[in-house]
Amino acid sequence: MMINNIFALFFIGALGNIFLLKKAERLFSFFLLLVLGGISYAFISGYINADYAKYSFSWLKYLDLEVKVDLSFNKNLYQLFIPVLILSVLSVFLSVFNPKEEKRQQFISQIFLSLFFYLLLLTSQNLFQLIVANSLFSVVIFCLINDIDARKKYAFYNFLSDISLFSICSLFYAYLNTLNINAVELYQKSGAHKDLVAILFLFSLSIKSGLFMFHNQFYDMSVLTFNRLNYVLYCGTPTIGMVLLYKLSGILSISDYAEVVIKILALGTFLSGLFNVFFKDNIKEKAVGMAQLSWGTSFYLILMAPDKIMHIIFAGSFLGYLLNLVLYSIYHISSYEQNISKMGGFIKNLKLSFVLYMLIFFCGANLFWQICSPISLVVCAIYLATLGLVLGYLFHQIFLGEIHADERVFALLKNCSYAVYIVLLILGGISVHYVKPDMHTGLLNAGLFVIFLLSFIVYPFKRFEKLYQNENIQEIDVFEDIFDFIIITPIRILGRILWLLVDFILIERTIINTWNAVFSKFLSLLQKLDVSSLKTSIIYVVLSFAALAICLYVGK
Amino acid sequence: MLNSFSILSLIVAIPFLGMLFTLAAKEAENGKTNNVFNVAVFAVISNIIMILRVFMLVKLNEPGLHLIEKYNWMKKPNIDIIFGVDVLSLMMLLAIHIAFVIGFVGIRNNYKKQKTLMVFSLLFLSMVNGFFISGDIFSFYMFFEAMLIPQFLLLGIFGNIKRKEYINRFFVYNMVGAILFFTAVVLLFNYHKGSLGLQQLSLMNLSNRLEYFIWGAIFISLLSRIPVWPFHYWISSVDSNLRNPMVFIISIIIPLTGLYGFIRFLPQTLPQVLDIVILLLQIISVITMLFISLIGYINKDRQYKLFSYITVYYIMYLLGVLTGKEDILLNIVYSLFSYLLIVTCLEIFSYYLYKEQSEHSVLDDGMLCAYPRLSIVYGFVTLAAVGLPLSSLFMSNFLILSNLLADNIQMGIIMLLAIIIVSCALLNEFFRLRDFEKWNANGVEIKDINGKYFALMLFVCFCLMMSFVKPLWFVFVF
Repeated sequence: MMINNIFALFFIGALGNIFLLKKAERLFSFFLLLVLGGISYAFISGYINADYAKYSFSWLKYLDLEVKVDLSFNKNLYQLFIPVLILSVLSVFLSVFNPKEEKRQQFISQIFLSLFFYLLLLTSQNLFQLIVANSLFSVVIFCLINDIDARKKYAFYNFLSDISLFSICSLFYAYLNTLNINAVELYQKSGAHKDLVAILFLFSLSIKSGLFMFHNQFYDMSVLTFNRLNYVLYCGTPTIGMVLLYKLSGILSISDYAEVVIKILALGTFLSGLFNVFFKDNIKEKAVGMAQLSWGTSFYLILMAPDKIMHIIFAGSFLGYLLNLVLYSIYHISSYEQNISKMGGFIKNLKLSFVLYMLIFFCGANLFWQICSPISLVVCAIYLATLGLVLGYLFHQIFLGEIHADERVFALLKNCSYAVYIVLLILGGISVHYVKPDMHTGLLNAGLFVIFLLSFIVYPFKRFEKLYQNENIQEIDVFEDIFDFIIITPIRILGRILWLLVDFILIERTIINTWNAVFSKFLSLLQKLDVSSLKTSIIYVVLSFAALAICLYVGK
Repeated sequence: MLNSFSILSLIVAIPFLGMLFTLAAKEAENGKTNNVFNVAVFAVISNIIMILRVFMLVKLNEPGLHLIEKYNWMKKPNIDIIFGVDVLSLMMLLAIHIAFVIGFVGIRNNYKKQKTLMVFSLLFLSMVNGFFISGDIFSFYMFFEAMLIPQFLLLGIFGNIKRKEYINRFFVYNMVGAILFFTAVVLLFNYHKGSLGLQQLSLMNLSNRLEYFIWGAIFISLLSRIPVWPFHYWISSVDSNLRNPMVFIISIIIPLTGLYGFIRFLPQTLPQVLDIVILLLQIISVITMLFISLIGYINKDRQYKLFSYITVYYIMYLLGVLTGKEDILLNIVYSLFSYLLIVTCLEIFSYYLYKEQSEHSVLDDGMLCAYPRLSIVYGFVTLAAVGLPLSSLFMSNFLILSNLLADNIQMGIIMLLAIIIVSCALLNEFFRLRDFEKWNANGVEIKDINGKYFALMLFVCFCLMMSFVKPLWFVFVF
């Protein structure tokens, strides 16, 4: 039963996080890998055998409001889940066989949990399940990021994203009086504040998927291990953003500008990725740039064919993961050297790896082409051509040119580990499965090869190399400064002004001081009156009569 | 089997008896107060068991008060004291008792005047219990005011508040509220010609002038407990200076009593005279929320940040209560359960860090890195506090926000902004405490929270999580 596998993901993940083994951690991690392999096999069998059994149970019930948990699958959901599942298995595999992996068991257990919450999100039929799964997924990824600065930025960004989504769903519930996710389309007719909903949705989506202006959260993650980084980039919140777009696509029809804005953001993401891939020296930041290229393209394609999202996520994440794995492998075999500027001339020792990387790139590109070119030939061609140029540029710096690596690094260069080979071959094998030997494929490969060679041998972007030494470009975080300037600073200033004006000047110095002054005047007046003289006796008598008159008047 | 007739009175009596036993408990010669601590904790835990028992006895789905106990206090004038409970009051009682246990355990090693602290705390607990089980307006009023006495004494003895006039103002201003409430009670008694149940009160039809005065007086006296502008100033002056966590926990229960009063007193169909008052109150409330959250964000004092968080959430609950919708009221109560536990935990953690900081004379930046156990529970509680689906806060936030956004979008947005700012302030504080690079006392001998305390905190985290899954999970468990 599929439901058992779903809950197995949760319980194994939770227990693995609670009971951390100090001894035999690697052995236990290997066991977890086998379990995840088994679960994956069950899901793939379920997909092949069209196991679409329905699982739904009541969760919360408050008077008129009932929240159900749905865990029913259909073909589309399987197609959305399986690519992420396969990439997760590969990440676990790499984690088990990488001796440098930190807190391996915890990482693998978190992968289990993230898969569970991803499933919960995919299968959600009501808004409440959707936001719960989305938030808990964010929490799991938050735990998975084991660097405090990266975690901090991620937490703030995702908190804002989640609360925006939360507000949208609150509005839907308020106006539609139902939590049914399919009713979102009715909001166009019976809802209000549609622009606000559209803005919040775009805001939430952009943060989740690291779209333009909100991508810097992922650059801070370049301190994570490569495997973790790859997992977050291709199985983490960016994928969730795409799924949210799929699930709540009805929102796009609310505003005339929503689609246009997403397209602009996708384009911005692509260009920003290109900038970082070319100019950042750090290989992990280049990996994030590669992911940005993938996200930008994927979002653009999803908007063109929302019903093909499962194919787009599959092709985009496979190709992106594959290319990042190539970078990971280079990083691994160069004794964890992070800077591209300290590489060069590696081809002497890495001929086999170089050929493998080339083949892998072509396999991945073919897979992407076969799946996505029916949606938009132009977008796919631009994306693949850009990748060709970028890889040519990178490979030139790594494999050709002068040797910049120190003697130790160069002496230790050897072809990548068998674990990475295995993963590359698996992904390559899956990609080959999709390649069709026809004229289009031939043309694509020829074109891609020409572009790659042009970039690799002619090396037209030689001048960009100098920018690796430019500290401003390497350290730049324009958007953090902008957000700080337009959001954080005004909040601080406003807070100080309010504190000073209201608490200090208005309440302490004005209201309380006035009250004290009035009260002391009143007391001194009473003291003056409290003397035995005819004048004060008359005043007391008059005051008594006045009080009596008021009482009589009110009493009537 | 225990006679259900006396069970509610026992809930009031047990902390009071506990107080007497604590008073009689002998302090150890070395200044440690194991006996006092054990007796006090035992009294609170016994009461938790009683409350859970009451949960078993009550039919939670049925409306109205259950297990009614009625005592005739006076023949002339005829005044009855009525006790009764429903799911709202029981949830509050349970949350307060768990908060007390956490608080007592948190100050376990603070031996300075511990006996006095325990005695007055138990007295306060007894009064609060009476308040939450009161079913008529007289007992409600008596306990509403009586709880101020131990609170005032605790503030005076343990408050460490530099400016004594703050406490005086705080007390005077609570007294003004009390006088107004008393006048309203007398007028209602006169109008009704006898004792009045709380449920009858919300259904009463009063003449126009009386309606103005009674509701005005009740609203002001209840509001005086909630940190709504301009009342927030006195409350913040006192609360943000408190350094004893138990006293802080007690003082954050006070606004809860105001809120609970609104839940109990708000008429089923609001009289028309209240429309303008409620609108005004809503406007003031959202402005206060934003105001306090902004000040909380810029303030560097951890205690003030916590106070701003508490205030924003209390006002949000007040706005939820003012909607008068039954499902929201129920959710607020479920949510308040988690909220009290979260706030208590944050205060206790903060106190622990503060104590360690002064002991080792170090800065607190990055301090949590040296306390892995504390860091885990602090992280969890902070994430739950900011409204992630780790406690029952999540559901109530969803429903309240849903209602406010639909009723008045501007107010809803301001409320949302306040929640975001105050949550960011809490997150900022957590990350500052977790920043490893700023931790500059690597050589200092650190003592993380002990195993038993860690286990208790994990249990509280478990309770929070379960409250998200099923708010009344313990009813099904026991």
